[in-house]
Amino acid sequence: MSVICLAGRLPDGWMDVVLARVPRVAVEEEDGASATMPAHPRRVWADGRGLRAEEAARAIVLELSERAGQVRGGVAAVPVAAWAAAVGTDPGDVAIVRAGADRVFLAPLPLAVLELDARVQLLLEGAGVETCGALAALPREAVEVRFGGDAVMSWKRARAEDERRLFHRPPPEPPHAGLDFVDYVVTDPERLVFTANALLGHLCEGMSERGAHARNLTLTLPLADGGVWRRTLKAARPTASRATWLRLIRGVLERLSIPDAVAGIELRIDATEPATTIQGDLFDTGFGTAAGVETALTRLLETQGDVVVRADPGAHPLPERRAVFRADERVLAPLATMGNPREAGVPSRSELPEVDAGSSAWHPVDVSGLTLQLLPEPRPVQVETIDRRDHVIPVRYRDDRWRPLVTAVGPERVSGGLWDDVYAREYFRCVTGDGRLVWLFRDGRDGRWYLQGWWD
Amino acid sequence: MSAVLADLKETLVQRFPDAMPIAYRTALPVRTGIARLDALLPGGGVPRGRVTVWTPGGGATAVLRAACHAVVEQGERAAWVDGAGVVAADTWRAGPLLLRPSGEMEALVSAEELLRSGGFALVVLAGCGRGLERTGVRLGRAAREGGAAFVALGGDAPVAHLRLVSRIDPADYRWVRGAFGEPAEVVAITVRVEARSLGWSGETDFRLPVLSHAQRVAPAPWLSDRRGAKRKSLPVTAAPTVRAAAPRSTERMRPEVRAWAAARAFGRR
Repeated sequence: MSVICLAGRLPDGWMDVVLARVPRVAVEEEDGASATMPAHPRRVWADGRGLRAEEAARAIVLELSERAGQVRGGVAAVPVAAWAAAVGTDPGDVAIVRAGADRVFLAPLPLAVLELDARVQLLLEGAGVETCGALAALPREAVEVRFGGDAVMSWKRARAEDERRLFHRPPPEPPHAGLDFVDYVVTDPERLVFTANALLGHLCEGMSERGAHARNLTLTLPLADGGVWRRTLKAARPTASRATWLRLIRGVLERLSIPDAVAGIELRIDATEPATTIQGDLFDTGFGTAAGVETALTRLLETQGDVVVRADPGAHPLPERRAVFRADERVLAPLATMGNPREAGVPSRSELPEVDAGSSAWHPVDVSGLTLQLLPEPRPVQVETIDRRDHVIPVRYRDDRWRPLVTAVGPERVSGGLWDDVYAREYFRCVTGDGRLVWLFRDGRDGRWYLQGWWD
Repeated sequence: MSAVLADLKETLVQRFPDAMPIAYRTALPVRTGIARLDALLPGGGVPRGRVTVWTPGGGATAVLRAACHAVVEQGERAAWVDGAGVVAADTWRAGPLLLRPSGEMEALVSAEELLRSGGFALVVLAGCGRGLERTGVRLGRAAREGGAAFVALGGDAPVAHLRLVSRIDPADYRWVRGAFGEPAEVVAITVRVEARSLGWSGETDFRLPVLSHAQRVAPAPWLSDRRGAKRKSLPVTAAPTVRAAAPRSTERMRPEVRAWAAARAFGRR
């Protein structure tokens, strides 16, 4: 006997009463019941495996009845028999189905206890099958052919072969490992790394055996003054690699600044996910090396942050404010798509515009041409100017040395902003004596000159 | 004579295994996409597994970006390590991986990681300075292990197998003239490239376009257009006539004059 079924009106606080005697409970709401059954509020399944289920059921029903509940209990080896026993007994009482006698117990009961579909029940009754015993006596093939696949499940229940899994396996405790320094305290980060390495070996081996990868890991250091220092580490990708986690821990411990000596160390894996094997095309030129690339990029992401970026140009009139770069999500894309130019949004050759530069040397496949190289912040420069019509133009400028300007195109005027964020610039595209095309501007507010960038 | 030459080559290979000529390649070089430059370079492109140093300026960035896109188009990977942080978001095209490390040392580390991974056909390190002199040997070894073509844009490396210098003569700029007959827009330039390697050198020239920066203009520095950051740019073709007495319609104006006229009209409203 392993399943306890409680039916009837349950009083408030019934959950505490039940969980005080059994480890696990499954609650079935009203809409989960069959419409052909007598009206009932809801039913509760209690896991009695490994317990004295009969005693536990009697104690539960007694206590719930004292709390003004109309509770009936049933105990059996299979859920359908426990349910039939519970609905067939009086309120405040518990019906026990002897071990191995579930099928015999069910045999004289009507088909309604099987909670079968109304259409199937109508068909069965039309064929003269009115009890569980009559249904159980039929051959399976006959039931399946004459009444359909749904009737087979009811047929199994009538034979006390109820395959419902009411209680799921409890979630395993998150992997963790720790060590308390009982007789001494530690102040040397290298010793902490050494200890963490040993603990990580245990954790990572366990994860590998379970086929899991850790998403994040919490490093906890109990301190000698009673405090606790805690830090959650996150790898770029879920991994069970000892080297990866040790690298992250080492990076944290080497920069560690805590108020007191360390009295212990604990590593706890907070979240895991199943390890997956990525499949790909053997003829894909990028697939064979994707794992190496992923490892390299993961290492870069862990050590330097979001170093792989994509350009996301804004709409601000000032170039240095318009340049926005965001982390590139392609880095975390599945391996099979990495290295595929179509996934990268690269147009095919036929999609590229044909450019005629007037030379046979021109290769019209994909030549970007000289593009603007933008300084992160405009660099102040000294400039000499001459007058031209209603404005001045630069004739030479100095950053590291004086550079003559042979051509100056401009000004292109940009102004705008509000309050303290006003800007007014006059841009000039200038060709230096050594052939560089640079971009200078004069700040209209104070007359200073800056180098914004160059073309290359 | 040929037998003597073969013996000499064999002896050189045995005595100096690291001094293998770049023409002794095991994989096709990385083509830049510019026919004249590919014809100049030994093997027909940037050598794989070797360090190439290109002095910045003179269109080097444009050529190497073209090479990166050519690599990606062929189904291989290319990476651009922007050590100086000068890549403009407006002009960067998707395709190669773009890395923006926080400093020169991080850029060198990034380049080494990518080279050693063995998954990249071309890695360009832009904006490196003297750090390349110290780490050039490491990077060269990483490039050889990973089989990638490595181009350092700037700095110098004692282990460089190929050195490139590109220049643009000021007279080689091709301009579009403005309303006053002065240069208004540069459309193309001619790049002259010199390449040097062990016991070999050559040079060529080719033409490249210049991608103009889409500048938003205002009529005068003391007149704030107040357009804000997120509003759409003024539709130039639909701009009203600048002056009632203007004899020419905006459709017949040169592009740069049309933009100037539209901006003036907008500033008067």
